[in-house]
Amino acid sequence: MKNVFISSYRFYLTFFAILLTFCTLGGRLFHLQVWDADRYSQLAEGVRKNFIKEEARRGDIVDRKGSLLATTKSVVVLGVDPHAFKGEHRSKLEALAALLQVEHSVLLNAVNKKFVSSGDESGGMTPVRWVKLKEGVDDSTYRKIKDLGIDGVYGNYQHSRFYPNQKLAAHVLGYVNKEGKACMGVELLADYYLKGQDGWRESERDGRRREMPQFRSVEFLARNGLNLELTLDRVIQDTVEDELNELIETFDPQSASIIVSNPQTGEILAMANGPTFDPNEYNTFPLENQRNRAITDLYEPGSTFKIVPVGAALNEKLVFPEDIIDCSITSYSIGKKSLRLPKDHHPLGKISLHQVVQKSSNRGAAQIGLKLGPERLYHYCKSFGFGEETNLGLVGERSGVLHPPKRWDGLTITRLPMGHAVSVTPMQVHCAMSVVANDGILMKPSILRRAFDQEGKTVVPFSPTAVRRVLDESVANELNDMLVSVVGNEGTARTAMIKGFKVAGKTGTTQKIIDGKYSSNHHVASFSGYFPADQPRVVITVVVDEPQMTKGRLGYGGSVAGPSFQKIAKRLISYFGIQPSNKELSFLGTDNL
Amino acid sequence: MFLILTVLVFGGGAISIVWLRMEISATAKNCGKLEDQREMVARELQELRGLKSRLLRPSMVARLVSGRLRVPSPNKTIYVTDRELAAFEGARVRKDQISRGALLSQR
Repeated sequence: MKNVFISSYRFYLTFFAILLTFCTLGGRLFHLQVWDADRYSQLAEGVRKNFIKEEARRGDIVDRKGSLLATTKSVVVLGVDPHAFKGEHRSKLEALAALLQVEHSVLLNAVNKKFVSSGDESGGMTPVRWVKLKEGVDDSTYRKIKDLGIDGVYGNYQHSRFYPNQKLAAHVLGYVNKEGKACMGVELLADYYLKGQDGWRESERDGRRREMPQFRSVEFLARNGLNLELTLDRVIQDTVEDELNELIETFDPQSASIIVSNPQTGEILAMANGPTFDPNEYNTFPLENQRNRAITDLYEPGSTFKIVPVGAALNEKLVFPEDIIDCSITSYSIGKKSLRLPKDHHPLGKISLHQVVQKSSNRGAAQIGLKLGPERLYHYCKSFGFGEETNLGLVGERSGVLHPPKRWDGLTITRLPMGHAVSVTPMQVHCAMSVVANDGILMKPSILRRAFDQEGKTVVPFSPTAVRRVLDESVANELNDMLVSVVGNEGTARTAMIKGFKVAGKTGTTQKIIDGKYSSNHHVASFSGYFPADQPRVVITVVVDEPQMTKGRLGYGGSVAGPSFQKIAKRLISYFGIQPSNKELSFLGTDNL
Repeated sequence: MFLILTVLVFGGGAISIVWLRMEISATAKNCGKLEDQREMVARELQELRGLKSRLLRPSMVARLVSGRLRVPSPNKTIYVTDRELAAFEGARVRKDQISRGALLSQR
């Protein structure tokens, strides 16, 4: 063995250097594993641990036939990491701009924005790792973008509410805003059922921040929201909206509302308002377009309200259909007091109660109101549902204005029966008309039919609810006969007639109050009716606010709202397959053989 | 001998555990991929459901067949009751009988 000479100085130097190295390593290990172990293990855990929130999918909304009205789809928030973006991909930005439908310069600015001022006193710069390019990119577009293969351009999926029928039933459906908050309509009414419950899972991630599913430790699955079936029928809703658009085009009114419902159950089959909005782009429409005017806007109902005093007087057996009422008198005396009666459009003379309704006599209605007296008239107004919300459930519903008798002035008793001195919503008038169509029973209007799970199993049923009996069945039938005569050759609603079918209804034309006075240029035209009168299937209410008439004509309910009722009714006859009341019109009628 | 056996058992066990964990990782990775694929299919399905609903909107369908097909108006719809049908059939039979009778008498 050969001895190697090593100087002691070099030996000790090397020895201590190695010792120091090991001591440093040992010290560092001690620091990492013992001294600051908690902090570092927490740090490591934090980097490794992956906490993923699993968003619950909001339930769908469908109509009574199962047609999709609102759904949740995944959209992409697209962005770019300017540091990961490679210069050689600049040529692809034009194709990206075309796909995103944004300016090319916007993309160039985004990829060049690599640093921003940190905003503190140091004046340093912070690197930018994400610049948002566009929100709401659909899945198919995102796939095309991915195919472009641009480094640094990527997106994050998020749930977004989608209304495939665009403006259809917008006011009923409402919308969910960008923060995922339900804002109005059924979305808000049934938010509890629709929203579901978010889930989460805990796992680990690799160096590229990808989840390692094998290390999933805790997992709470998201519970998707329940689906909701509405009472609406998309075909009827579409028919109604078509007609509403035509109405708006013809008369250019300030607003218009149409409601269609089943009188027996109170189920709303269609509800539309104009002007309207698209819930997919709710923020691009004026706020006033989002108002569900059928339940929020108040107006004086005018003659459509006459069913209340007449129904009440018949129910109280104060008058009978054949009783004669003198509509030529201009005042009515109660004790020493003499009350001035309202005018009629044409002098009507002495006519029966039946004709008071048929001809829509204001004086006749006023006299009936006087026979009833304030307390009973008020009681029946309340019974018909005026002065209180219909409890449809949609947000923003108003109860209208119906003052108690102690707040009435001397004229109210003669003006209320003709639909003045009271403010109502179109929905209230609709419900009142449904009382007559439903043999005197007031039903709670409903919009929800059931909540069901992913398998279609009903979880929460919503059944029709009767509120109260307002009129005796026989009285409702008598009133029905009167309303049928309104939609006849002698009545005020000839435009609502349908050959072969018995239609019942009442027109309403109200002067609007402008600057504290009834204006002769601003009107609300309305018609509320139902058919077939002997077995009502649907009640339709049309309210048009300030129709613009040509040649200085007056926008009467009969001439503005009546034809719309007729057109909708005709289409519903075909849709429901309702047979004519008049069998002789049948092609194969026995008499024709 | 014992030492070799111990090394074999422990070594083999250790390798098996590693192999098992690798298998678990691979399976979990595949499961993750399948989950992603399912998510993508679900997304596409939602997209298609929305599209279908939009295209089947009654007014949209009506526009497609505009001028060719339309819902008949009530006055063009004929309802035939059982009584009417029976009467119609009876009349037809009577007509047949009369014409047959006339034919026979001619003969």
